[in-house]
Amino acid sequence: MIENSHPALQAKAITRIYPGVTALNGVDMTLYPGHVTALVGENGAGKSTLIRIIGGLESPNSGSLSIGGEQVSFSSAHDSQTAGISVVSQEFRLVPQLSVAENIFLGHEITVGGIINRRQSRKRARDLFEELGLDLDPDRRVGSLTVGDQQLVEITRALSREFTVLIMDEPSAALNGAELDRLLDLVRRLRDRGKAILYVSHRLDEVFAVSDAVTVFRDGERVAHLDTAHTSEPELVELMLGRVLEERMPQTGITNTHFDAMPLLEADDLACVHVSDPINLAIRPGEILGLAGLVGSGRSEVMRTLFGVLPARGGRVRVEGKEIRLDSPAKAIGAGMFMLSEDRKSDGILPHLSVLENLLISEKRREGTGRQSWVPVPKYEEGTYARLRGELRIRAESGLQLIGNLSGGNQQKVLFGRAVLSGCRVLLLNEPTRGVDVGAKVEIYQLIEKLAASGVAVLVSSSEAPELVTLARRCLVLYAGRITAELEGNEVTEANIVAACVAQSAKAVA
Amino acid sequence: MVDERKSRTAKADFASGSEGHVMKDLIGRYYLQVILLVAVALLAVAVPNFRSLSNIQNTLLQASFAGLVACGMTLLIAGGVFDLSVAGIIAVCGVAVAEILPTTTTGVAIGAALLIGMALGALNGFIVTKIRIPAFIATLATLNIYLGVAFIWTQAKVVPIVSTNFLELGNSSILSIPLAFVVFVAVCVLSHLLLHRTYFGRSLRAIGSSEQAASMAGLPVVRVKILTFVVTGLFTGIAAVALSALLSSANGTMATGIELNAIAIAVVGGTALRGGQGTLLGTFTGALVFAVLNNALNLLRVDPYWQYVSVGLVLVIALAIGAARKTASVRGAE
Amino acid sequence: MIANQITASSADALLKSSRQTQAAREAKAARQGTLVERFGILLPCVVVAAFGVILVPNFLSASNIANILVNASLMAIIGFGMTLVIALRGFDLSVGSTMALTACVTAMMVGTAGLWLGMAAGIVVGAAVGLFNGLIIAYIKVPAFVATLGTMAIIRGVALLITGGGSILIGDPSFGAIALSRVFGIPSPVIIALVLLAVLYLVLERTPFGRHVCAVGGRPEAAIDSGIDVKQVTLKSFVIVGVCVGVAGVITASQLGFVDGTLGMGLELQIIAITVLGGTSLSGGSGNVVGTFIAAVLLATISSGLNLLNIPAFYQYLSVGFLLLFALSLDSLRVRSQRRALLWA
Repeated sequence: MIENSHPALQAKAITRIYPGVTALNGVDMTLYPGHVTALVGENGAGKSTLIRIIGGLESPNSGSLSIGGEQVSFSSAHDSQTAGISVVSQEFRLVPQLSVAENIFLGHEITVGGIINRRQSRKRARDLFEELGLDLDPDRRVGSLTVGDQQLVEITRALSREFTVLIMDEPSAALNGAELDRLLDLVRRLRDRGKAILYVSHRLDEVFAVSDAVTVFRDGERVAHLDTAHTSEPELVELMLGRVLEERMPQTGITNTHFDAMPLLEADDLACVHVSDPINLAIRPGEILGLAGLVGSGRSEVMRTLFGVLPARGGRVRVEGKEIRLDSPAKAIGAGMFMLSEDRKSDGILPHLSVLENLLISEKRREGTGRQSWVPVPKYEEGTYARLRGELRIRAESGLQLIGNLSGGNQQKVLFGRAVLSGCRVLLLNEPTRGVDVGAKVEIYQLIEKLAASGVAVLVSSSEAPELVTLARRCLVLYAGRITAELEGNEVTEANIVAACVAQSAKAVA
Repeated sequence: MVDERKSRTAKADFASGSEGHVMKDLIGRYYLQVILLVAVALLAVAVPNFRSLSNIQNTLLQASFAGLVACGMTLLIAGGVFDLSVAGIIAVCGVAVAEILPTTTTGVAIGAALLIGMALGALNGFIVTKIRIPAFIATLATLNIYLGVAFIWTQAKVVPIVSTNFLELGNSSILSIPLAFVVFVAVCVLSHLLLHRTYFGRSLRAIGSSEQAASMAGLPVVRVKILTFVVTGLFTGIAAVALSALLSSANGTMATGIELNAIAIAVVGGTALRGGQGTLLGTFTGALVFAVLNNALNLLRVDPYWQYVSVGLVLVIALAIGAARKTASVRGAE
Repeated sequence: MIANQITASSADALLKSSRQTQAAREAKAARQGTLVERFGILLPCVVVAAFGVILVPNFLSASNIANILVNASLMAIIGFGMTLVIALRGFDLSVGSTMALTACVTAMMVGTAGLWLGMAAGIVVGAAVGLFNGLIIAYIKVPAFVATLGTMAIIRGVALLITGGGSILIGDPSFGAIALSRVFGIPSPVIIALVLLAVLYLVLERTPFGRHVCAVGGRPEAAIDSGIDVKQVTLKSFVIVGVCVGVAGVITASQLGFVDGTLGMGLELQIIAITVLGGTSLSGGSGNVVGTFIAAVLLATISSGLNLLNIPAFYQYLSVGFLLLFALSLDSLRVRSQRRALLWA
């Protein structure tokens, strides 16, 4: 490894703990001038947390950060920028109503006597575009640009400041081939100019194309730091996934699928937003179908279109053979579907309501269950709550406490209970164990399998390959809006899923 | 992953709750009621006219008008919306009663007024949900439209009410308690039951808590919101009937500024602006607090314009306290 | 079975072509949207003016036009400040009460401390109210519309208190002359409004502060990430609208000659109406001060027309209310169609 003696950035023993979860556990990171370091790892490995800390948006619980040999402590994004760190964020920090040039120079505008010098700004913007090999109009409103172009503006914005350290968080997520080549070219040029670059990406081919060294994070720890020239993709994938996880469940209940039964959920040529392929799928009673893909692959869009949250541009969806109109979640629920969203904080829990109310809110009104039409009967409801609490093993002090007080895993179980009580025949799960501890994870897997055993058709969408391997007998993989693989039976392995997620050719069956 | 840590600490907190904690907790939860009782007690001792029957009746009566509107406002705030048009609804309903009374019976006139209130509420609800305009600005616009209707109907004149039937009914008392106040109490109880003991109320609170999650859970967001506006229109119509009975007249400006009072009552009473919950006990107490405050200012011969200042000031202070507490709790939760 | 092994180039080609069509579609929508946004208000203005000329006698008389422009200017001056605040995604319901207070303070001070001190006092009072609002909203984080609902009541009370509920007559004739004076035949209030229009246009569109206001209103995370002090920007915006109200209050006092605490009741709705009508979106991120001015002229024209037709003033409750609803519906439609356009990527 070629290492200069003067690192541009040195992070030592960085630890960051959130309630219930250790995001980073004593990680080190050193960035040298004229050097590109790639950072890889699965979702939840801690990459974003480290970037937020270096970017000044969060402070570590312990550990130190030095820039150019001097120890620093950031209390805002501004501090980090002043210290010479520039970040290309994954979520665009762009104001849609402002022009490209105004966004690029937001916060450090080029002025003459207090007035923004538009000509200079335009010129400087064009210079930056030239470096990137771009053809963008500096006066165009950012809100009217495509997502890909917005990403390019975001990158330009990071380059418009004076910096010694450049951090790029998934900079290529919305770029196509030619733009990507230009981006990698730019990274190389910046490196040659002596900048220290941290390149975070899921896409291993980019890592090998542009980086000098690779750091691998897993579960909040740094598990490897290698010379890019001396490693390989399979080695990286293995390091990212780690050895066999103890929590992985033995595969059970394979034979729950009623192969002869009519599919409960069918999608015919469903055209979803941001997904270029039409989606075709069919799930039978008792079957668990997996849907894999990275962030930005279109996985989430497919789920949300199936549930009526996003409008479909074409195609049909049938539940129990009957075509349904995907107007709204209420319609979907009425037809017998239910969905657990990946963001339970904003789409799932009702924070001001109690655990009991959260559980019972979608209960299907059936005859003879003691449920009146206007007024909830406390005794009946408490009975239902007690029953489900037992079945789902929800750990809560009382049904009347606010749901916000429960741990992530227990909140998720409550949402499961909500799905069960809705009487759904089709269950859509988006990242069912995100933010859930290991113990609850296992219990949730068992719940999913039990539900399937009772005849429900389940579609599980996840960015965690082991999860899909545990649950699904069939798995679709999406990459950049296209279906790159349909795996069945023995083909459903972590290696195959991860490979298809990053659009590599299939490996031999593990 | 250290998840057990969280539930363990929660249990630890629970266990350490001592007697002192319970007492502090009670006062913390019912501080407004305590303040009201203390204020009433002080005033009863210090200001002689306060204790007279007519003054008490007057205060209770004054509490009823804004209080009735505040009940509806509480429901709306719990659902995440507002209605600034209530002064306009009262104007139209009051004028309707006054204009219709000479031609029909008391019952029909009152019924018509209530129906008109519900219709105007439905219009508000429709504009907010179907045309998707933020509630507070949409109802600011409808406020003006309804006021315009009232003024045009009366040609900006005051319409007197002479029907003795109606006036007797409106100004009657039950066991020395003004009828309007009794109705107010009934509406408070009804609203409480509606919000906390029906599926409708649960849906409303869910929508106010997180409209996104409520939609994902399949709740009929549009229908619930419109119905809540209709209910508010109904309660406001009742207030209009009561007020026009007191004034024995109706005109466009009969309830100017009542939206401020209603929101202040709800907020001071403890219903948080961000939605998801509402307390009718708080609204009831708040209505009394403001009525007692204004009554005290009157009796103490304080310049009546201080009432404007005091309502606004109390509202702003209550909001500031609420906002400061929320920021602190969010920080703690991080 | 691994289906569809996608080669990099075929995926690229697909992405690129779909992106190009989408870009073309968006550019077209953006152009149309901007045109409607910036100049849409002119159409109703012309229509109303046409109606006025046809229906109303003496509509085109010099004195009537001057009248309309002066009334429009008074509303527009406050409207410019409101445009800034709404671009910030804030709100100010207290402008009516504040105008009454500044007019009353000015009236009182002109009588006792002289012309210039009196006018300065009015403007300072406006700024002080703006500061108060800004502190509550930016630093204590109370939602703007309900905070200003509260201050609206407080300020109204204060105005009524200091005037004892009565009116103040301004004895100084030179003060009254200010509002009535003309420069090159154009009434001074109109000049002041046009000057303020130019200043605030410049500030909003061409200074870092103005861009920061739009950033805070359009996407606060982007503003924070760029190192913008959101609290300071919010505070300054509310002070600016306070100053605008102060100026309007001084001119009103000069114009009327006697003021009382009930001035400007219901004014806030008119100001919000002209701001939204003028093309400033309630969702924040942009402000159209020119549109605000044109919309002010529109409202003043309607009001003048109704007056000349001897239609009672209270009919304007209806006209302003409906106009505002109409403008809000358009705004909502535009925001929703923009959002939908972005989905089809």
